[in-house]
This record gives sequence, C-alpha cells and structure tokens, in this order.
Amino acid sequence: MISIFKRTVKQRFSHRWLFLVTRWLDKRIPPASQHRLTMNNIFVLPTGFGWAFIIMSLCLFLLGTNYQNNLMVLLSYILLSVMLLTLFYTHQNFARLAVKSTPLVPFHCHQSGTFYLAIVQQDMSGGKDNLSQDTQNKPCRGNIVASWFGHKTQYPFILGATENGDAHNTTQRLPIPITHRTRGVYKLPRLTLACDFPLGLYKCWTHLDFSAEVVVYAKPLKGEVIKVTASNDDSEQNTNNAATSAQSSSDFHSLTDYKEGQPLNRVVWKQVAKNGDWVVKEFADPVQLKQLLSVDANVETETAISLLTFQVLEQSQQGNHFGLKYQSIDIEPSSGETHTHQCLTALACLRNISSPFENNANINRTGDNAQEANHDKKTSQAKKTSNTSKAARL
Amino acid sequence: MIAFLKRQGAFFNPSHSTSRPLSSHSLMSSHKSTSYLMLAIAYGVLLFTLTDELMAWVIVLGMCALVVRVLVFLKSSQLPHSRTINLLAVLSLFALTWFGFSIGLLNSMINLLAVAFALKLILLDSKRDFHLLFCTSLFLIGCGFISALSMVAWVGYLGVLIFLLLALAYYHGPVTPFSSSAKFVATLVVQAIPITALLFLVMPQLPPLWQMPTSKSQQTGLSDTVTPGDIASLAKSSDLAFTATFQSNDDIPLPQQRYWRALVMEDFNGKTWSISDRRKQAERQLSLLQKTPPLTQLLASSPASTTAYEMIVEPTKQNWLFSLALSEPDNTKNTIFVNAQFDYTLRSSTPLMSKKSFYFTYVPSATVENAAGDFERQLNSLLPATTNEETRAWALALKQQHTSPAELANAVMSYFKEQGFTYTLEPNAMPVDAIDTFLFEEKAGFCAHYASAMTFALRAAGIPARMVTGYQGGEQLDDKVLQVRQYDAHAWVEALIDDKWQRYDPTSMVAPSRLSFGLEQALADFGEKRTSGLLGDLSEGALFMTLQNWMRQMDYQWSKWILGFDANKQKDLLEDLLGQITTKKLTAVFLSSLSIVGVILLVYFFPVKRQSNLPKHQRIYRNALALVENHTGVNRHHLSPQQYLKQVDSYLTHDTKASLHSMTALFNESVYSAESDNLDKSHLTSMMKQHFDTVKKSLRQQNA
Amino acid sequence: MRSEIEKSLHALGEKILGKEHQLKLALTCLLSNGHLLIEDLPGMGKTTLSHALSQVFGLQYSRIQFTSDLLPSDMLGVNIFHSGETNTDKQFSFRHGPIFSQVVLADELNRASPKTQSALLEAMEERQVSIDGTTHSLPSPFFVIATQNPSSQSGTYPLPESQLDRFFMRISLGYPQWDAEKAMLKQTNSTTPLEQIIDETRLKAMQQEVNNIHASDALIHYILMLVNESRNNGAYPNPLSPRASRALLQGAKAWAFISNKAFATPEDVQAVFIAITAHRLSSSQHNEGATFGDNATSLLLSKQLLESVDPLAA
Repeated sequence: MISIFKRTVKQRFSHRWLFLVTRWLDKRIPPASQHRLTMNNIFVLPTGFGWAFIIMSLCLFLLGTNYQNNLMVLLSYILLSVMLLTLFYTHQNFARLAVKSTPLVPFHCHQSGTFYLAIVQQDMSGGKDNLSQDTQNKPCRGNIVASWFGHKTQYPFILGATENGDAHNTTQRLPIPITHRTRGVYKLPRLTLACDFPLGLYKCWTHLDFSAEVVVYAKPLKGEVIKVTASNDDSEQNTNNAATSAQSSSDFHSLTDYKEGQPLNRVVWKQVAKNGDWVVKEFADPVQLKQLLSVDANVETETAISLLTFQVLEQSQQGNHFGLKYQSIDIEPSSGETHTHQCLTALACLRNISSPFENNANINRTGDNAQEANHDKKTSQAKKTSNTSKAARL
Repeated sequence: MIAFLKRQGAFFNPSHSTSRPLSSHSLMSSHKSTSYLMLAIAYGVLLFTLTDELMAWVIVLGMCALVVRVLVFLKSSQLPHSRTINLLAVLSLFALTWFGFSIGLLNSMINLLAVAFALKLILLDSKRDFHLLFCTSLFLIGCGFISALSMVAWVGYLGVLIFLLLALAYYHGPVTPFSSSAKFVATLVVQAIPITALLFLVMPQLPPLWQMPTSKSQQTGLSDTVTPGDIASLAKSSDLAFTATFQSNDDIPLPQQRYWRALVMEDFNGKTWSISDRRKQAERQLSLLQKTPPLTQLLASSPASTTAYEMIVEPTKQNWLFSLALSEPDNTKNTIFVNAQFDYTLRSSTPLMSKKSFYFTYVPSATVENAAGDFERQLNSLLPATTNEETRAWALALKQQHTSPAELANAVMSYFKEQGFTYTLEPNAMPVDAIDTFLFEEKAGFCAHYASAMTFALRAAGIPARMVTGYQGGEQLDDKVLQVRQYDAHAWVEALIDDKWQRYDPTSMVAPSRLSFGLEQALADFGEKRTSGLLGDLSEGALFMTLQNWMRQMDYQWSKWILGFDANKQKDLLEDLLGQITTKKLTAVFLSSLSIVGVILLVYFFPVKRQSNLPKHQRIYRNALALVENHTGVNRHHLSPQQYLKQVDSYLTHDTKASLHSMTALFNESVYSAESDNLDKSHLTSMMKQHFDTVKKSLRQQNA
Repeated sequence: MRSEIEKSLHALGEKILGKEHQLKLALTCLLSNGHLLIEDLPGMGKTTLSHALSQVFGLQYSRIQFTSDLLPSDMLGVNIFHSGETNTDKQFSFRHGPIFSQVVLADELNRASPKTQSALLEAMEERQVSIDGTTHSLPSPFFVIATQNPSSQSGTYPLPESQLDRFFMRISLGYPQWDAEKAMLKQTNSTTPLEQIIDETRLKAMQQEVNNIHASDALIHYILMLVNESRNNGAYPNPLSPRASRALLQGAKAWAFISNKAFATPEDVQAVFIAITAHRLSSSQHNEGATFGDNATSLLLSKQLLESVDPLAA
C-alpha cells in the first residue's frame, strides 16, 4: 500500500510538465464548441521526412561546395526554398480548417462511443470580398490525423472524401472513436488534429478543447433487481396521471359490447343509430408498468449500478414507465428518451460510498483532473496520486 | 481498493478504427500507386543520365525495378517476395565490392545508391520508404551534376525534380485531382526560383571544406605524359578547354603570344615524355622548405605592363592548371587556392570537379628563370641510353658547327624549316627510334613530334631542354573573351640558355599559320581537315555558324554566371549594384534580403484582414471602437456598437461618450439609412475624424 | 407622429405591468401582420395581454379554448341547415366560428388534436377558411395569439416545427418583478376596459408605414449572416428558414418603427431576434414533448446564434 503513494521522480516531472502544458494550452486555445484555426492555435514543425529533406539539402550544399559545383549548390537552394515555401503552404492549408463538435451521444464504459467532428466550410462568414474569394475560400485538404491528446492511437481521415465524391454540398463529419473505462461525467479530452498536406514536409497540428462533457454510462450487467410496482394510490401524482389517461390521453383501442354501468360518453352512438348495437369505445390503456427499480443495499455498489443500468435499458426498450430508487437517486416513473438518459446519467454519476476515494472519483469536471485521469490509466501509482490530489481539493 | 484503482481508468482508444469510407480508401491507394510509378519513372530517367558513373549491370537492375513497378501499377503483378530482394541485395553487395576498387570511391558510392534505390523501389509499399526514396533521388540528381554541367542538363534535372515534387504532392493529396497537384507544384517552383536566385546571389560562396573523393575515369584534357600521338587524339575534340575573359579587347595578347603553359615534361624514356619523379620530389622538398616559387614573385619586380584576366576552366578532374605564359595567380580572388611550382607550372589545391573561375595576372615581359639551379640543368640533360643514335650524331655535329647554344637551337629550328617538313595530324606510325624516323625519314608530324625531336636533339647537344605542353591560340568569342578548345592543345620546347628557359616552338617553323590562325588553318595549308565528313561540311554553313556562335555565347554566360559564380563575382556584382562593399554592408545586404523574402512570404500568405474596401469614415469608426476596447479592456465580441457602448458606459468620461454616440449616430446614418448613398462622404469622414480625435484625446487624458 | 404608439404602449403597460419589452414585441408582431405564440405558465396574463391589445386597437376579439376534443368545425364554423317554412328558408347557411374575429386568442393550443391545430394554422397562413368548398375570408387585420402551457404536457399534442414556423414570434411573459406585482395588487380599476387609441384604418396605415422603413444592404447582410450561420453551423438542428429571415427583416422594421426611427439598424434585429428565432431553432430530438428545458435550450441556441455574428463584420 505504501508503495502506491510513492512516485518516481520521472513521473512527478512528467506530471508537472503535463500540467504546465495543459494550463498553457487552456490559455492559448481556450475551450469552444467550434474552432477556426488561425495563426494562434496552430503549431508547425517539420516531419521526420521534412528533417530528412533539410539534411539532404544541406548534404547537397556541402557536396556542391566541396566540389565547387554551383549546380549542386543551386539544387540545394531550390530544395531549401521549396522547404521554406511549403512551410507557408502547409500552414495556410491547415488554417483553412474550421471544425465544430457535435453533441456527443453518451456511451457505456468499456464500449466505444463516437465523437463526430464536423468540418465547417470557412467561407461563409466573410462572404463579400470577391477579390480573394477563390484563393481564400478553398477548403482545407489532405489527410487529417486525429488523436486524443496524450494518446498514441491515431485515426486518419481524408478531407473532402465523401461517399458520392461530391464534396461541395455535404458537410463532412469525422467519426472519432472514444472509450472510457469508468462511468461518470467527464470533460472531453483535447483533440489533436494534424495535417501534412501538401508535401508531407511539415506537420501542422493543434490541440482543440471542445468544452464538451461526456456522460459515460455504467457497464450494463444482467441480473436481479427489485421492481416495486407503484400502485395507484401511491401518490397523488400517479392518480392524477391515471385519471387523465382514462379520460383523454390514451389511444382508441377497440370496440366492445356495452355493459351496464359503463359511462355513456363512451358509447358509440353512431353504431347505436345505425343498427342498434350498443358498443363502447375501449381505450387502450396500456398496462403501464409503473415500477421503481431498485437493488438490495447489500449488493456492491458498482455491481448494483451495472444491474440498474441494464434494467433501465431493458425497460426503456420495452417502452415501460419506470422510476429509479437507489441510494441518493430518486427518480419518479416516466418514460421516453430524455427520462432514460436522466436515469442512466444519474447512475453514471452516483458516488460510490463503499470506496474511500469515491466521492471524487466520478465527476472530473476540471480540466487538469480529467487530463491527469486520462494519463493515469497505466500505472496504479499514478492513479493513486491523482486521486489524492483530488481528495485534497475536495 | 486495488479493484477500484483498476477501474479508475481514463479515456483510451480502441485499437480498431471503425469507419473509413471505402471509396476514399481506394482513391487513396490509387493516388499512392500513381505516385510510386512516378517516382520509379523519375528514377529511370536519372539512371540514363548517370550512364557515365553507373555500371551497366546497375542500370539493368534499375530498369528491372522500373518494370516491376509498372507491372504492379497495371495490377498484373504482385510485389516480389522480400526474400528474393534480400538475395538480390547480397549479390549486388558482392558485385559492388568486387568492382568498387576499379571505379573509385565516388562512383562506388553512386552505384551503391542506385542499387539500393532499385531494390527498395521493388518493395516500395509504405510512406516511409516513399520518403526515403524521394530523398535518395534528390541525391542522385545531385550526383548527376558531378558530370553534367551544361545548361541543358540543369534544365533537364530541374524537370526531374519538378516531376518528383509532383509525385510527392500527389501522394500527399489523397483526393486532390492531378491537375491541381500539378498547378500547386508549378506555383511552388515558380515561387522557389526567385528565392533560390536571391540565395545564390547573397549566400556566401564558400571554399571547399574538405577533400572529396574524385572519380578516376573522368580525367579529360591534357595528360601528364606525352607520347607523340596523344595530342593528336585531343585535336579531334572540339570540347571547350577553358575560357579566358580579359578586361578589354586591347588586353588580349596577339595570337602568336597565346601560349597557355600547363605541364613541363622533363623525363624521357625513349618513347614517352612525362613529368619527372625527381621533379615531383624536388617540388615537395622545396615547398617543405617554404621557399617561394618565382612565379608568385612576378609582380614584385613591378613590370611595365600587366594584364589581369579570368579563366573559367572546364572540369578536368585533375590538379594542374594552365595560364598565359607567364602569369601570376591571384589567390586573393581564387576560391580554389592555386600553387605555383618551381618549374613555373600551376597546381590547384583540389582537382577541378566543376567549372571554376581562376584569376591571373599576365606579365608579358616575364621570363622563365632557372629556379632550381643545377638540379634543373642535370635533370634536363638526361637522355635514355642507346636510342635514336642518328639524332645524337646529328646533334653532336651541330654542336661542333655552332659554339653558342642559342645558335645551335636556331640551327635546329631552321632545320625544320628548310628540310621540307610537313604538318599533319595523321602521321605514319613510328614505333622504333621514333625521333630518328621522324627527323630523317618521315618528316611529317605535329607539334608533339617536333617538340619531342627538338628537345631530344638539344639534350643530345648538351643543352638542357624540356618539353612543355599546354594550349596555343584561342578563338575570340567577343571583344574580351577567348575560348580555347581541346584541339588547341600544343607542345613546345624550352631550352636553358644563359640560365633562362627560352621558348622554342618548332611547329611554327613548319606551319606558321598554326600560331596566327589556329589549327584549322594550319591543316588547311597542308590540305588536311581536322574533322571529316558531313559535320565538317555542315559546320561551314552560315546559319550553323550563327547558331553555334549563339550557343557558345549562351554557354559562356552560363559558365561565367552560374558555374563560375564565386565569391569574387558575387562581390563584383554586389559592388555593381550597391557601390563600395564593406563587411558591414555585405552583412546588411545578406540579412535584409533574407528578411525581405520573409516579409514577402508573410504578406503573401497571411493577408491581414483587409478593410480597404470599406469607406474611410467606417474605418475611423472601427478604429474608435478598437480604441475603446483597448482602453477599457472589455472585448466587444459581437455586440452591436450601441450595446457595447452601454456595456462600457461606466469606464468612459462624459466627453468620450458624447463623441462616441455622435459617431455611432453618424455611422448608423451612413450605413443603414435610406439616404446613405446621398450623404457627403468627405464631410462625413471629417466629422468622424474630428470625433475620433476627441475620443482619442479624452481617453489619453483619462489614462494619464 | 408615433405618439399613438407610445400612448397605446402606455395603456397596455397599465394592464400588464413591468413587461414593456414583451408588449413592444407583441406590438411589433401586430404591426408586422404576424401571429404571436405565448408560451407561459397559467396566470401570467396571456389572456389579459390579448384582450388589452384588441381593446387598444379597437379590434373584434374572440377566444377559443383548445381542448383535445375540440373539432375544427367548433373553431371555424359550420353550415347549418335551416328548416324554415318556405323553400327559400330551407337552406344551409354558414355560421361563423369564433375564428372570424380580428384578434383570436387560441388558448392552450397544444391541447387540441393535430387536426384542429392544423386547421387553425392553415387559417393563420391563408387568412381564409374553406368549408364545404366555400372559401370564407377572415377579417382583416387578423391576429392570432396562441398560448401554450409548457408545464402540464400530458395529453397534449406539441406543435411540430413546421407549424411553429408559422408563428411570427414566440414570447413568454414570465413572473412579474416585485415592484410590478406590488403595483398590480394595489391596482383597483383592473377590470375597466381600455379605451381605443388606434383604429383599424390607422393600424393598416401603420403596417404600411412599417413596410416603408428603410432596410439597407448592410442590414440585410447582417440578417443573411445570422441565417447562414444557423445553416452552416451544425449546432442548430433546425436552421432558420427563408420565412424566418423575412420575419427578421419585417420584425426589425417594425421595431424600428416603434422606436420612432426612420431606418432599421442591427440593434432592431437583435431586439426581435430571440423572439422570432427561438421557437424556430428548437431541437427536434426530444419528441416526447417540448418541455421547459427545451424552451430554455432554444432560447440559449438563439442567443448563441445572435452572439456568434458580428454586426460590424463586412
């Protein structure tokens, strides 16, 4: 246990560095849902190939000088000029990129979600200046490599490539996979976009913060949960609902024979007038199972959450009315997508009181915490430290 | 706890990337294979330009690689197995080592590069390899310039470079159409050329930093041994040997005086004249003793007339140089240091691998002194035993007739004149006792025969004598420029008389026009032609002559300004442009031109938000708002002016607010009202300006 | 010249206290010849507002309470057979429904079935009613004030976006300020009807004057930028339609008219922007019904859109 709290110097250094970088980035490229790349948020450096190109040019220069061969020297100058110009072209191309985030659909932990990044055509805001229209309003081209800040996996995309080949009218959306190992609400990490168009000599990149939050639902787990059916006299709300549904809101279902005592306003008078059959309108009052889902308090919290998550999904799929009651969660029965989302989010954000660290484990809203959390997945020591730092904060 | 920590994960990326549109993938791969093919084609072209350097089997291997690439492109073949390529690589390595010794280090390197390229090309299937091969092909282009120096070669290689860049651009533009890649590369190169020119102009021209390996096979021009007959083969060649540029037409010496001294042959083995080993040894010793060669002291005696001139020497891949006899090298200007030797010849410090300018000062009055005393005398009196007995006897006879060496030498000269010698480039072979045969039987030959015979005779008569080779003559290209071609190669005699080396040119006795009018005329006098056949006839047509002259002019300018461009020329050019050059000025020019390039690029690529199309009063209004933003530190964001002014209300004084509100009213009036077109713009502008000044002033006061 | 506007605003302000902006918006809507949607909790003064408006302009007023069983004919009117003595008396005659009024308050519009809703909305758009093949044109001016009640959504049929678009504006009154409510409670003559300030012909003349307000190219450019931003930026699930941009221009003109200006400026666009665009921008993702949350979101969207365009950008 003690060893967990120890940190190597290297890790400490890297943490400090990462923190500084993150803070600097926050200042440099402030979070926004839409980013338009400009001078200020683009970084440019030669790629490996770019360096090789420079070294090759210098070699040719040396060779040319040593052989006193001006043609070789000229060649090296041309290459260097090309290198210089390409710097600007690469930057110019990348600076044409404008992206915006689209709302992130929540996903379950250990499953892959997709963050859709939309490419915006930049020319619309300017509009009027006809002179520079054709040079300025070209879209950004080339390969875009996306990756999450601090992660190695890269997702290459081709700008301007659409299924039907018509790149002009459709907005391109880049699907960038994302997963997370723990439930909760997280700040979306910075997205690194890089491009080496047109010659691959330079890499332009940027780290964008879309100031988006991701809800990571708990992992669904099939199992037993307690379903308490909410009876009608349970609460006033429920009776009210029942009354209204009987009257008006429910849909027409079928016609049945009239029985003594049934309300007259349900009699289908047209039928009576036509052939004297007394029939009544039967409204489909679906057996709306209004049940409260809950789990026994003995079950370990994480398992319980997973079980409930599964149930919520199941109930939602069947279109049932359901509510949630577990620990601090108390959600009235209802149905619909919004309700489902509400329930799942509540489950995702539930604090786990069985662990000493849980009250800060789930909601990482501040950027540095999220960043730290992102980078801590590999070593448990690192994780521990980030936890302790959070604990200290709270 | 541990379990919890394990759960405490972070965002990680699934290893599979799920969605990439298929169509774009196939599009990308088609772009890739096209780029690979283009690279392969460029390589093929490069191979053919490097035939001098590359061995035949390397070229064949390269072509095979190209064919493989074409087949892969046409989808009719799979990439070969890498094991096959490895085997090929090992075989090639053996072959390269085997041949390496015979072709020299530089050529082995080029061959190695070409072989490696070919093998990698066959397997090429990744971005990394593509980039690697791209860089290699750039280097191969560079190697091409070792031997090909003409303007045509330069344009050709530039074409290959553009083609390569196109391949690269196409590779990196996965959905860009070919035409737009081509357009981009064209723009890029057009923009790169002025920058290149500027760099070439202002970047310091450095002297060679270290000795580089040279290729063995390529030596051209005079050789350091003369077997009579050699120079005849040179006479077939009309390649340029060098170009000399004088300051004015008057400075050009008369044709008879145009002796370009190159090598001194002091050793004769009965057949072949060569530079004496003992001489080489002596030179080495003298330079170790740090003696000053007399050739570098010519100007010290302040001679009456001197002529500075510049020579652009074609690459000979050798060290020796030539100059107008006698000239002192101007090493303050030469980028390659020129050493003078005690036999009054010149050596460059590195072999001439490229066209290079050299600067000399011609001193017509200077004479070749006996710089090494008895050593030279002894060395130049040696004769191989028991050959050419007839000549020896003749020489001894002459010696008895003439007491003074000068008379004797003149007697030898007049022998050639009187005995019906003829000048021909195609003498009969003289395998045994060549000099005897030449002097007394054939009596026909060219300069080397005459010089060889006379030297031999003089030595036999006890007068130290040596053979000197070089060039004689030169064709005037224009007022100031002399071009000397390989067929101007010549050999003559120097005899040590009165402790001075006197020049005797026996050829002039036989064919005086050789000196005054050149080889062609000399041959014509004897009914012979230098070249034969169609080309020779053609070369006499007027159009052809004009064309040829034009080409020569172009070639000369190319040589002078591009190939021969050096620190000196750079300085002269800058002086022409800027007047007197100082180091400070030069640095300033260098830095300012670089910054000009930078500024131009910045302006070109980062256009500042131009508002020039806005009317002036609107611009003033915007400036006022910017001023307020600056002053208050409150960003306007996208608020409308009125809202913004409301927001910053508390920051501003009454005066400022009043002015700003009037400005806003004016602005609204001018932009949004129905009468906006009818308003008096100049009046509006002046009103705006007035308010602006008020705002500026009051803000400044507030700040103070 | 526009003292009558000021007077009427003042008069309205006595009825609805502390809601000057909303009153001006309602007036703008009326002057732009558009229909108004008020989304609010019960008891906020929706009815009072509509009533006061009709009184001030001296317009004929009727109120339709929408319920789930309200049929189109209940609203539009029916052909009734007269069984008179003579043959000439025996004929169908059209009995006008409550919609044949100059100001119609459609209360709790979203409680009616879609069929009824669309009948109203069609009438709103066409300004005429077709029953049994006969077209009856509605009185002019014709001004619908619809209300919907966001909180009790069960048993309601939320209006689809396509129909929301037909409302020129959506406003909500919200709770009054402390002082305003205090003044309201102290008021004694709250039931006395307002006197007519503007008559019908004057209203029509004013509507014409609004049309004559100058809108410069720069202003139109600003509106276009706003509209295009909503279309190009994917953050807006329902981009603004050309009808919305026309409404923006008209609204800005009317606002400029009310503010006694000769030409419209971006401030006028901004003043009416949220009221005109919020309901058009609202998200369609949660079809379970427009909740308060969605209302807030749409306001936020609208505000965000407004803030993302610089009126000075050329």
